[in-house]
Amino acid sequence: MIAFLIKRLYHALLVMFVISIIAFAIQDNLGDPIQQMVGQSVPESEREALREELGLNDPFLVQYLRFAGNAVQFDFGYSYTFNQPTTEVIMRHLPATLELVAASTFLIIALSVPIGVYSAIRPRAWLSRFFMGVSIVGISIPVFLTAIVLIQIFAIGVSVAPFPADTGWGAWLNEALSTDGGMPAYGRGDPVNVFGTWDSNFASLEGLTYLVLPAVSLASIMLPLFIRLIRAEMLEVLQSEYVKFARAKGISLRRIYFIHALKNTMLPVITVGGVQIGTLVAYTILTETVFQWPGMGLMFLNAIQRSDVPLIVTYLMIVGLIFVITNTLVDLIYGLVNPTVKLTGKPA
Amino acid sequence: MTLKKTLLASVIGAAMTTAVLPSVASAETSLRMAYDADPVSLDIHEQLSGGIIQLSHMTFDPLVRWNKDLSFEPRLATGWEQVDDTTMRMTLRDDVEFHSGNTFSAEDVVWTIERLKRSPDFKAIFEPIESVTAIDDTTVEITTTKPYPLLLNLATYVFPMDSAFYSGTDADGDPKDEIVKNGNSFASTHVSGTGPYVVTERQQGVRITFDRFDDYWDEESPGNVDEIVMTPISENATRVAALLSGDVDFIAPVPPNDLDRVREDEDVQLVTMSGTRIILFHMNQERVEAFQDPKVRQAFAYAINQEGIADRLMKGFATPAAQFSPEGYAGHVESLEPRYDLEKAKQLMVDAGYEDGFEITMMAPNNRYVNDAKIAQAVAAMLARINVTVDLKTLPKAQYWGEFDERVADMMMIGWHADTEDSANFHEYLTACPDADTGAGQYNASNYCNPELDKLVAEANLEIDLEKRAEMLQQVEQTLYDDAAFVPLHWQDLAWASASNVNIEPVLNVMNFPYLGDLVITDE
Amino acid sequence: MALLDVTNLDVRFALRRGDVQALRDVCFSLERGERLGIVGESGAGKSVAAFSLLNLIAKPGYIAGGSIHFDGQELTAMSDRGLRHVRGHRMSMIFQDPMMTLNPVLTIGEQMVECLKAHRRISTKEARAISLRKLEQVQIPSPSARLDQYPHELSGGMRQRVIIAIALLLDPDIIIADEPTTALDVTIQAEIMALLLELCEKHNVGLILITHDLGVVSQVTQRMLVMYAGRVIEQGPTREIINDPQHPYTQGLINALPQMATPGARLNQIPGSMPSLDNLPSGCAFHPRCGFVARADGSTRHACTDEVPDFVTSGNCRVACHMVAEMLDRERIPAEEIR
Repeated sequence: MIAFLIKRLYHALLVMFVISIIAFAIQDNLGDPIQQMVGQSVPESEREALREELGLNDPFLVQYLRFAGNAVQFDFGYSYTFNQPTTEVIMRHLPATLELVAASTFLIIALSVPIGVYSAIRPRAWLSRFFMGVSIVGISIPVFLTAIVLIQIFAIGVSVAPFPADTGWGAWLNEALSTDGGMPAYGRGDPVNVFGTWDSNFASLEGLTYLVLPAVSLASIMLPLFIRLIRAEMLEVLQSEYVKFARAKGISLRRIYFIHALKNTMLPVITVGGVQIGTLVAYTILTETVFQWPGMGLMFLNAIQRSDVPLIVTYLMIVGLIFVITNTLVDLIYGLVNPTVKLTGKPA
Repeated sequence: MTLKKTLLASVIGAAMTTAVLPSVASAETSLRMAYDADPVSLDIHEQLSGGIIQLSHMTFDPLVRWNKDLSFEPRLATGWEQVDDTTMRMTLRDDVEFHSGNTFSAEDVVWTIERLKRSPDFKAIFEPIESVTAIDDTTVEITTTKPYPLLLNLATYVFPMDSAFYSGTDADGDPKDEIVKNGNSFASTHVSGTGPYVVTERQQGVRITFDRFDDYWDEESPGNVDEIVMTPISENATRVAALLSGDVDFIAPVPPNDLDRVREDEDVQLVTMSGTRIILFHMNQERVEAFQDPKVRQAFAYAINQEGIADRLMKGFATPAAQFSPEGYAGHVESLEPRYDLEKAKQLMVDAGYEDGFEITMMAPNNRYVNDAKIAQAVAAMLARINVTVDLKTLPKAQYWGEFDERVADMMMIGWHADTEDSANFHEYLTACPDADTGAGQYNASNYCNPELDKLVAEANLEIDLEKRAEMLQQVEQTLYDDAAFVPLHWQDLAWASASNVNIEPVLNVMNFPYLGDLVITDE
Repeated sequence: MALLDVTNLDVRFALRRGDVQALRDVCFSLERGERLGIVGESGAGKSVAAFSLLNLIAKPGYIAGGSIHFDGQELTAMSDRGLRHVRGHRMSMIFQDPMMTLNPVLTIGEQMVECLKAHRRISTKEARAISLRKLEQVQIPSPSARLDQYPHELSGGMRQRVIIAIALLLDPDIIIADEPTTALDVTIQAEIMALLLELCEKHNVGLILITHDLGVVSQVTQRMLVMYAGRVIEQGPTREIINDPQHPYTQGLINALPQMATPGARLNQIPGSMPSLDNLPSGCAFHPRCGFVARADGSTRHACTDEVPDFVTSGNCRVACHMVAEMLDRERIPAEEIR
């Protein structure tokens, strides 16, 4: 087990090293940070002085070695926009993103398992067909659009009048189909501080209302995938010999579905899905932008617009690290759940 | 309606905490607003940008400020007198307090101007000021190196800071008044000014909370807002959605795509004004020989339909321009109108010997100005009609300015707003003969050089008589028009929106410096 | 009254192009403790017959007609709920491949305990105790350790023993074994078969053994039936059929055994192959491959191509063959309806 973890740690360091080189190499193409830092009428001489001060005129190797030297001491540089160590900036934005991803993951699992299982058990039922149809639509619609539509419907409110408004039933139907909005349209609101350093939206009912729309938008990216995955896997599993044998033993259908079939279904779902959820942490950019959710994604987008190179480089490295961690966790979980897999050298 | 707050509330700890002050009783009038970005720092001398000036008007007061018609309104300075060509004497108010409790005096003005001259961003525009001295507590004397007609314009940038508050050293042993562009400084996180609002909480990129300053000197201000919560919402659609859903009461800017939507909503009002940022194309005479021929340049001027662009592309959200200075500026010439005449343009090309046209490259940003990339495409299409083939490339602003500095394309787009709200500024940066040593013509990507013109501008800058000065600057605009050295397109309009009971119109102006201290919110 | 009585069982598959008949008019019965073999080529319908007893045929298959009478109850009329009481409890099944039959993510113990708990109200502890006893009965080494092991930790032979133990958990009346040793090593096959035989004899459990292996059938079963293209074509005491097969197909099967061939010569194959169910020949389904359609004198027996043969009784056996019927007619031996 220790050997396994050490090997993964080594992977992580390798990944971060490669990313840092690439990010550093393209920094010239990321734009001129000086341009973002000074007003338009500042003369060239001042800009040059600032450039020199920040060490931006040094050759690539010098700059990189300086960066690497600091990096091993956990100093990843100062963000140009926030004027703070980049690690601090990222750590400050991390909880928001983690909570968003956690909420989305919860939604994904809570919805995809029942829907996927139901669609596999009753593939011809109209409800199953409905879910499959909706999931195709869900995969096709970009998350950006989903988010905007959700905001329009639930935050601003939509009033429709397809039915004649002067009739009693028409007015009632129009009323039923219209919404008043009322959900928060952006931001985290006022998250409650728990454990001293962590601001959580989960700690209050109000905080949760801010979390709902962004979490639903983010979940909509992955939900169709998971539903279809679970359904496909479950359909296959239900054809297997051991399910037939369980039926021959007289086991109840419920137990067959949820003990015999589900556990086997979830194995490939854990592998595929686990990694996808890991990528969610990096891909919250679009959702956070639309909802002005102050997490890492929004921070990164702003960093790019302002050519905040130290922040960009550090962020990319941290994302690389997150991927490795996620993969490792998925492998560990899979190894725990699947008894036929010898992950860490224990005798099976 | 007002609640006493302790002075401690105005000092911000260096660590950004999320501690939110307990929300007060709803008797307090509160404004929730959203701009597209929050100020990068609380130190108003750190950067010369719209956002910082907007912040300055909230937490500080200037010596004088612009009225809607671009005349001057006395603020901390009650009167001024031009003693001689290079000396002006200003009288100051005697009843003003800073947030910290210190009393405002002429010393603070001296201190502030000296700091402005040290600021990398401001030093250039404050260069004309030679010295400033406090004659007594309420009188200050400013001398300029040469006769300088724009001293009052400059005074709008002087927001006196609490010199006592910013003196000494902070916890790290650094001087409290130091201006640091890429690091933390005392001034970037601590504020004490004379302005109507006190910063009580700040999380960079998330929120700033302001409380009304109880001892604010301007008792005649009609403003009744006790608390302002400002959040940045960078995404246009989200910002508008926040307003329409009632989550915020005031937003700026309003993207052109959403103007109609905001107009149609009954609970929300839209305010638009003609702006002072000119959008134009440079024609690089050094790269393209044809541009050295005035006939070719005039052909371009006649081929491009500014009114069409403003009308159809910008949907009326721009004022077509044939010169640099917008209305209200000294150099603005009423008679200079856009001159679209395709036949004449074709004829000029024939006269110049370019009947078959030629090829040029064009570059424009795609996320800096409103519809910038689309405008460039429209202009390219218009030039095609006079047989000029345009190879257009658009870039994000982060990459574009590097290319602009290198003068990489034959025609390049730029938008400019004069910091001094004065015409001469356009010429100093955009049309003067480029000179790397003096910094003149820093953004003159046309490489247009007319020494006569530069001389005229220089003289205008020494002319104290404002009427005479205006005449000279108007002559400059006329010359540039005749020379057709550049292609001005339009001035970008400005748009703000608020809830119906938030009366923003009286406090808005064409510089986009909302005077939120005077904002009145009526009951619903 | 026999313990199990299957009469005129009809099983069809509802395909898009129409229904295909998988089993036609299948009849057999089983006394308590009796061992019956069902033999035939792949696709003849043996497994379908076995699965249909507990109505476990996979969709789109369904029982179209006939009756399955078990211990006074009509199984075809029972709901799935009712059948669940029979499955695993009164009648249990053993499948072919023990690796696929056991759920890889559940322990042996879990898979045994759940079977007990599905049919009886007992605690997990009691269930484990019973499971342990059954494991001992099937002679598994270190049975208590096995309870907490996963299927992949056991060898093929051990897995099949476990499955036999599961089949015996609730002391069933009948075990249906579908090719129980086909997937095992040759050396293990004999062991497992011997074990199954011993247990059935010891506990007086009936056995329906489905297999294509005539050798196993002759050793284990008391009676057998031969299936071809969804029909039973010969049935009777195993000894008699093996020693004196009547139906040409059965004869062909016996002749094809390696033991019957002369060393060095080719094996005796039955020419052709079994027809697919949706494309059955007219009349007797075997007639295209049968060497007896033409009589000894050269004339053609038209009944073979025109009519489906009925059963005729020959000794203790029943055979569905026109040629046999003809021969019996000539000999005029009175038929006796002996099963």
